[in-house]
Amino acid sequence: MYAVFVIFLPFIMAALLPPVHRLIGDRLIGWYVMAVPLILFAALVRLIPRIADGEIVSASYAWIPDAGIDLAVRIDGLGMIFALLITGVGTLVALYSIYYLSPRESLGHFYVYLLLFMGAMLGVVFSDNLMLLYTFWELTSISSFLLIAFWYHRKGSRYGAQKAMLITVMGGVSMLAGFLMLYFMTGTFSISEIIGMRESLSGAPLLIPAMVLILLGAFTKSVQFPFHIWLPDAMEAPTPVSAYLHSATMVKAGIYLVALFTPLFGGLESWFWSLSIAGIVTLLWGAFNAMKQNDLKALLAYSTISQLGLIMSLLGFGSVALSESAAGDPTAYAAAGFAAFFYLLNHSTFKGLLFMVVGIVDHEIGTRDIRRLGGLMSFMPVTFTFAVIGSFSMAGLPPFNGFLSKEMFFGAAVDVASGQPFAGGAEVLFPVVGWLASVFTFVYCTIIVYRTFLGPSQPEKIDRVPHEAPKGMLVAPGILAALVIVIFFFPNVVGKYVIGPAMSVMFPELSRQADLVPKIEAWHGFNLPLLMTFGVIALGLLLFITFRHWKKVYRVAPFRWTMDSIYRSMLGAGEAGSTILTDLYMTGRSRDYFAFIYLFFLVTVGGMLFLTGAFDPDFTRGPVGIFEISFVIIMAFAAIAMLFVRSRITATLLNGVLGYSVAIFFVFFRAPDLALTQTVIETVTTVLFLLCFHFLPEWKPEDSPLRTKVVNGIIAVGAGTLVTAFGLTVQGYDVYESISGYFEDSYKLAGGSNIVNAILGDFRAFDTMLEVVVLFIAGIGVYTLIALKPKKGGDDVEGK
Amino acid sequence: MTNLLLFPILIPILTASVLLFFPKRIAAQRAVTVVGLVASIIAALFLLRTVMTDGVQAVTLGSWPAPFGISMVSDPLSVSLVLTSLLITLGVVVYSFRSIGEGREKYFYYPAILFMLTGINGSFTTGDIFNLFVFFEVLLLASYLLIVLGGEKRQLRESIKYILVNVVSSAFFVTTVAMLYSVVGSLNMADIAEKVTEIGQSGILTVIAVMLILVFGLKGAIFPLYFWLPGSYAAPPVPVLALFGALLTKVGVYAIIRTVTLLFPHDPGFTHELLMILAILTVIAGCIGALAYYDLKQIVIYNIIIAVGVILFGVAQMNMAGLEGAVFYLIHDMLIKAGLFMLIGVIIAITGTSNLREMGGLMKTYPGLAWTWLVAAFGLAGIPPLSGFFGKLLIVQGAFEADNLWGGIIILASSLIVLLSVIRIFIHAFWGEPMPVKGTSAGIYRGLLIPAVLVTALTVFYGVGTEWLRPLMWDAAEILHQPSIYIDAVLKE
Amino acid sequence: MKSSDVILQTATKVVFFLIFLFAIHIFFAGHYTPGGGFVGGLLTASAIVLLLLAFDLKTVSRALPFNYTIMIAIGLLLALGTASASILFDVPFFTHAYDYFDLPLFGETSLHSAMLFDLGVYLVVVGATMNIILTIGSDD
Repeated sequence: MYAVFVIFLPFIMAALLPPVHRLIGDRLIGWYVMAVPLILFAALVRLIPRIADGEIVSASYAWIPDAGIDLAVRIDGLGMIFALLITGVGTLVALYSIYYLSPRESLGHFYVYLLLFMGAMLGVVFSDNLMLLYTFWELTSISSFLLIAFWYHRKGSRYGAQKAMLITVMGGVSMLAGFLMLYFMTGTFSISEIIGMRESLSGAPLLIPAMVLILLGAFTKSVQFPFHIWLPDAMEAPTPVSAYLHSATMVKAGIYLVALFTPLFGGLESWFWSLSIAGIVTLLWGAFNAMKQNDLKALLAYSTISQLGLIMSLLGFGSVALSESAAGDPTAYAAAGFAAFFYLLNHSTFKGLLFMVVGIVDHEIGTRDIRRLGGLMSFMPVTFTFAVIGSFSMAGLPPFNGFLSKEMFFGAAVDVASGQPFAGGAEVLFPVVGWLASVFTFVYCTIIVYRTFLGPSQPEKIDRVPHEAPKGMLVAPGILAALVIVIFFFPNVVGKYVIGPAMSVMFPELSRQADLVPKIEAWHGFNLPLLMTFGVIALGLLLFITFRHWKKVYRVAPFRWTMDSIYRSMLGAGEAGSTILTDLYMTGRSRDYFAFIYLFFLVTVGGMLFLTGAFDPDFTRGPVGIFEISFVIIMAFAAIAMLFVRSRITATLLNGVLGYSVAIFFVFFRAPDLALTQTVIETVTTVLFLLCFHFLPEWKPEDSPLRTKVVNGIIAVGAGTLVTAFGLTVQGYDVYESISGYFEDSYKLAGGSNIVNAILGDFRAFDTMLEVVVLFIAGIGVYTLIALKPKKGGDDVEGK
Repeated sequence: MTNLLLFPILIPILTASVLLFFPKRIAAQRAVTVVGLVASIIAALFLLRTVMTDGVQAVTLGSWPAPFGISMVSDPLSVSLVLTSLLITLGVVVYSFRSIGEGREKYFYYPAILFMLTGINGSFTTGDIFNLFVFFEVLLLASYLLIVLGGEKRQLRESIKYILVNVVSSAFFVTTVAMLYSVVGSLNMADIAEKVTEIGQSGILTVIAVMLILVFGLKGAIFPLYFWLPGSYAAPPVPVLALFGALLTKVGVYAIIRTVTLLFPHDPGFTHELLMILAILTVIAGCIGALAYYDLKQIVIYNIIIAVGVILFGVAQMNMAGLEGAVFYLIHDMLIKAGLFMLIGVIIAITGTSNLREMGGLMKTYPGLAWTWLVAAFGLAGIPPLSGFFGKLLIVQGAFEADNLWGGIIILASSLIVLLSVIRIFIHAFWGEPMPVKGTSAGIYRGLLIPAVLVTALTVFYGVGTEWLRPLMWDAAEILHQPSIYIDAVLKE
Repeated sequence: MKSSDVILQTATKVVFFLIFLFAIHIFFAGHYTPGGGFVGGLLTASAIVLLLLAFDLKTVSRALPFNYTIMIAIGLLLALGTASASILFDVPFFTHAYDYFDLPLFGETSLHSAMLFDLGVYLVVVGATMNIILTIGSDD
């Protein structure tokens, strides 16, 4: 119950928001919203000791039980880390938004979306049912879509929203496919049950496809290369949203997913390589691109991409611990997993802080373009201090928490390069690439601080007089800045109470054998990681100073390639190609449409007739008399002649020949009723034709190219032949007993000696009634067609 | 009540006949139509309850023994389709009050709808293949009437193609029935199914099955037989489009389902394989079409084609999951398409155009419309827990069980295109800079929006209430999977 | 379609009644020999068409002052009503009843509810056909 309450509180509050908003007004609504994550945060913190003891809080309610879909909720150590981020950062972001958003904005929408997101995100990390997780997963994509386009009158916002949604939903759908494969293999959607089946699943043929599909979901959400392209465009969202969704929480859902499935897939070689390589490439590409950005938010977006890559690679390194063939002590590898969580937490603090700093700059100065900024230190000293704390932490300098986690990353990369069990060779590159990315990170951190707050002031390029932000706006970043420092000094509290329980979820068996919580120390002697940090600082400074000189490298391929242009051209080509393709066969000409139908008939029915071996014409039925043959010849002649006549009246007459000949065939086959009806119908039709005659336009001969005529001719002859062949084949079957004998007793049964009429009026009277209705509808159809004509020159617009 | 299952067919036809006596009195036309539909819905609800408690209902007309008279059969699938059609028609009729225009109302608009409904419900209920042909004719003739009603130039141009294609398809149909009768000697579907099961499905019957897939595929708009659909559906006014889009293709789909599950399920190597390939191609072709246009109507129309592919793909799996998913998706799609078309009708009424490039910024002035559209769009794309999700989930499960891995993945991937196509409408029409619009009166806006919202709400309940609907869907799928239940119910007398 | 051919008009008057009587005959005969409501209706309609060809529209409308839409509706309700009578007796729809009667003039005849149904069919067929022909004929 408790767990369900945690997820649904935001939804309930979101539903209540509109009336509350009307009641308390714009000024207080932000506080109403802030209360939600605050209450939840407090509730979760109270749970920490229980979770740290290995307890699991869970609840389950039936939703669609037969299909294995339940509202199963489970709070464990892994979900807890993320939930603390969601509610903790959520509280601060809500607080910050109160001052950031002007009351002129549609606050109601904003806060409803925000609460929806919060609930969805909590749902993702607390679901114990794959389908429930998927539901919440898509809901995060949707709320992110709505938040990115909060300022929907901007083109960029709409573009960014659509892109983010498409890419993340694509990932979601492929993840769903992966989940369904898991269900297919295990027969359950319960995550804890599936994890428990690790042994029996090994070697299942669908295991690797399922893994790939699930990873696709994780990679799109957590912006791994090349799916990272949506994140920079998502920066069109208001800055609190960027800080919350697009750096602290939603983009970490993929990380959560990977951690969640590590007990299942961890130890697989493909799992290790996928995560490590995707992570490392993303790390480097993100950092490299971050340096060239002029927009501070875009810079932070790329840095987020880069650091999510780092976390992803750490999870890859950590998964080695689950491999049976890992050399040495598995707990050493597991430390990489620990580092991943530690980095995750630290990242949320310093990146959230930096986003808020950028938001303040944007809010107070009116721009976040570093080409127009500079020298703000003296105007906004507090903001400057926050920027320094955040940037230095991100760059991995002491005394900030980023230093600790970066050291651990270096350590893990070195470890995995020296001893991982999967042959490859690429692993030696991991520490090198990681180190290089850190150098880039150092460079862009310096850019943030220097180009914004130091350097020459450029008052002529900004519209406002720079000043410090209002106090309320500084509270939230202040708390984060304090955390950045506090965690540096007391990392082991976090390690023990927050990360430790998550480790025991990710490595359930290993954690029973050994303590997976390493002691984090700021000073760990002159070892390789520390030397690497020195290298980072030295080379970083050098690169920063010479930035102007090597900047042109961005114009050289492949560095100038952006995945974004590929996305754009794919989308564009998709739409253009579809249009071309559709126009190709949608000619609007009935003639072509008939050709399609008959061609399809020839191919499928003709094909089947021969493939099934059913073709077996039966020529044995009765002698064909001379009369029949002559009428067949007459009909054939009339039909063919109709194609060549040049006047409508001749065509009508030839059509009559066909109709009356059919009547004569009915006579041959001793069906006087039908013959009579056919004759009358033919007469009435001809009269109708004559009535219409003077309305009809000139008879114009067909003017299609010869080739079309020949092709259509072949199709027509083919279709006719096929029907004949079909009919002859059907003749020969008499294995089934026919019901027609029954009707011969019609006098006894239905009191009428005319079988046909007994069938029409009694046995199948319903058909007759309906056919009469058909005739009648045709009647009113003709009537309305003539009686209800639009006024001349009337247009075709809907709804009058 | 022996004849209960006929009521949803007979009440509309009776109502339509009554309406003929006073065609020019619009208020009376509207009132009588609504009363007739409500009565039919009540009858259908009773029928639903009877079917759920007492099993498949069957009656052979004229008190003749089963294979000789015309049998009408109501199983869970039929009755739920009948009920859905009635509900949608009621919604569309109410929607028409504010949109169809007096001219059409005075010229047999409501009788035509009711006759079409008779044809549709009859097709869903009949257990006789020739009677199915007759019901097809009824619904086709009524649809011809609706498509030309009003006599606008575009309507006339497109209706002639529509009529021609359907005349050809009817000719194919009656030819096929003749062939079938010549081979099997029966028209009663249960009787045919029993004979085929006992004596075996010879090659010629497989060919006839393929013929039937062709005939019904023309109606149901499968690849490559859907080319007539986008043009002709876009011609009539939106309420008619909503009815066509929601109901007509589904009759074809339903008939294909019966063909491959009841009549000819014994040679899946040919028939079901073919059906699956066609279904996948249908999905792909529909996706291509849905991306090709910036026209509201065309986008949603191509989505009909995608859905037809998805449903038939589920059917082609021939396992419980696939069939149940197909049934779920079928009804979902009827409801959601009706809702979507009604909503684009509102947009068109406001903006005066169906071109996406000429609209924008409606979110500010028409937020209710915007949110309804978004919910409907997500429902269509199968975002849980909305209505499109569960059906598609089961279909893909069925595909995995039947070892059609790639097919299942294509079906899932199509959701993405579906989402893109409808979210594009949201982004262009509701977001962006407001464009000058024709505007509409508040009364008309409400009169159009309320029925559209109600139908959309119905889809939401359909999605959220999956668990309550499951017994019904399960029974429906079970009969498709075990046709002997159906056969016994008809031939027991 | 204006015509004042006296010979045609005179001949038509006779032929019209001949065809009409034949149509009625065929309608009643349907139970035992070829015929029935459908053909009967069509024949009747073609008889009226003949009148139309010989005389003009106005004359025919005056001579046969029917509202064909109402005729259709009555026919439909008759057909539907006959069929629906079975609902009241809770037997399957369209269950017909018949018996043999000794009628003056006709001799022993089976009176059959199918006859009533056929009459409905007859009315709809005549009405619908005439509706179509008159609409097209009167349009200019």
